[in-house]
Amino acid sequence: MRNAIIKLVLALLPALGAAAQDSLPPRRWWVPDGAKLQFAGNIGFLSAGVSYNNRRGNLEGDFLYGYVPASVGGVDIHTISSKLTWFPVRPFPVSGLRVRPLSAGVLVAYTFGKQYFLFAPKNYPYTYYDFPTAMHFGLFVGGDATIAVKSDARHRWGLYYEVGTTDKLLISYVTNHRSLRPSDILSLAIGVRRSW
Amino acid sequence: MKRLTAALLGLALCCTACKKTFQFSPHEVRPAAGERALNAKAIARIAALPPKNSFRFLLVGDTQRFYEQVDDFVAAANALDSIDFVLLAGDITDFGMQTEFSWVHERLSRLRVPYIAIIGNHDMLANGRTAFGQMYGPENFTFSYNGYKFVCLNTNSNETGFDGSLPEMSWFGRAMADLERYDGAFVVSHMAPYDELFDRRHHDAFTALVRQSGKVRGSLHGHQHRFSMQQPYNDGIPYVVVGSFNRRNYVLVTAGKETVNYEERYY
Repeated sequence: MRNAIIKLVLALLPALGAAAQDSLPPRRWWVPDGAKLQFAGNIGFLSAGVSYNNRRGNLEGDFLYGYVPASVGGVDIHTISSKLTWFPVRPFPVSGLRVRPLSAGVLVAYTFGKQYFLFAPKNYPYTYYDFPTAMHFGLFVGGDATIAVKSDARHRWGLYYEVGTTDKLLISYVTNHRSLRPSDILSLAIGVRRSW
Repeated sequence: MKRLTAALLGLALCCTACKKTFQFSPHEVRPAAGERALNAKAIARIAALPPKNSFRFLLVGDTQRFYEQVDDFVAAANALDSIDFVLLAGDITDFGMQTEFSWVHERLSRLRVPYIAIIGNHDMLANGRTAFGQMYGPENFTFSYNGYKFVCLNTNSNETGFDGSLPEMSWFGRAMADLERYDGAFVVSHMAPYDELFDRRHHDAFTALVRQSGKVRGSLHGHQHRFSMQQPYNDGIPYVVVGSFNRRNYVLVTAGKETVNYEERYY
């Protein structure tokens, strides 16, 4: 199952489109357009991975590995995740920075460990749990700011943030909106990005 | 555009007011400092209560994903007089997430009386056992109050694949060995011994231990989401299953020196 998921994620990546500006030689499809290091955001204490952009640069796909050490999360947690982010607003300059004020995205994550399952274990006498614990989905909105580090405009450093939630938190909120508050399910992620 | 940026940054700043500003994983076990050893703290509060002729407590179970009903229950329970404590018979959470334990505790901590939590099968999903252990303490524990012994344990055999480890029969045997020193006793667990998810190999020994001292006045359970009270073994011992929070059910238990009364109630 794990292998199947990894294959699926890898198969989806080229569909996002490798970036190549017209004036520059195109990259091989599998060469990433950038890398990210993220803090928090339901995919790890720290997560790191590669990014792929479409030609217009308004769609971005990430493939990340995240880790939560037991000293922080009670148990060691290893998660792979794939994020798809849409930047619906045209970037604008602010004192040398290129700001994208709005992003919206979805993520899917898989956590390794024998205590998690995708389908209820065989020892159940009937279909008992109708949700996977090993996999979760997430939604987020955010923004970023980047600065060019070379004359080639693709080479940029940047910072981004996201405010998001996950499927099980969201269903809890939706079914208990008189009791739970949005602040119960939302949390913040911040990250560093480098594109080339 | 500036307004949009400001709004988004405002949202991000708001998250510093979030329950958890940064959440690392749905599976993380990261309770707040005040959310530890909760059962031990509740037992200490119960132990400090003055002795009386009879006492009353509420049996509830399966808070799961019913937070609005938990709010309503707290209001209903706080309106009752002379209740000494509340027993929550498992399935505190739906997904075994520490965040859910915290949401339930946040609400039940508004009760005027202490509450004691017993682990349910949903509470063993993912890292639920770690979260329960950090927040509430051991899965098997006893406490005594006003001449009664309460034997609380994990009977969710299915979550360990019916491998014989649950319920922990050696512990249960020791916990039930000294009941002659008490006026009466209650056994409290999520899964009743006649439930499909209770390990059949332990069924006879478990019910025999409940029976043999002659002191057990009730075996109290949750899980089935529907109230029932029966004597399935015709041994004079009532097995009481409380309905879940979405059914807005609790059982008011009044325990005297020799008799115990059960009242099915709704709020």
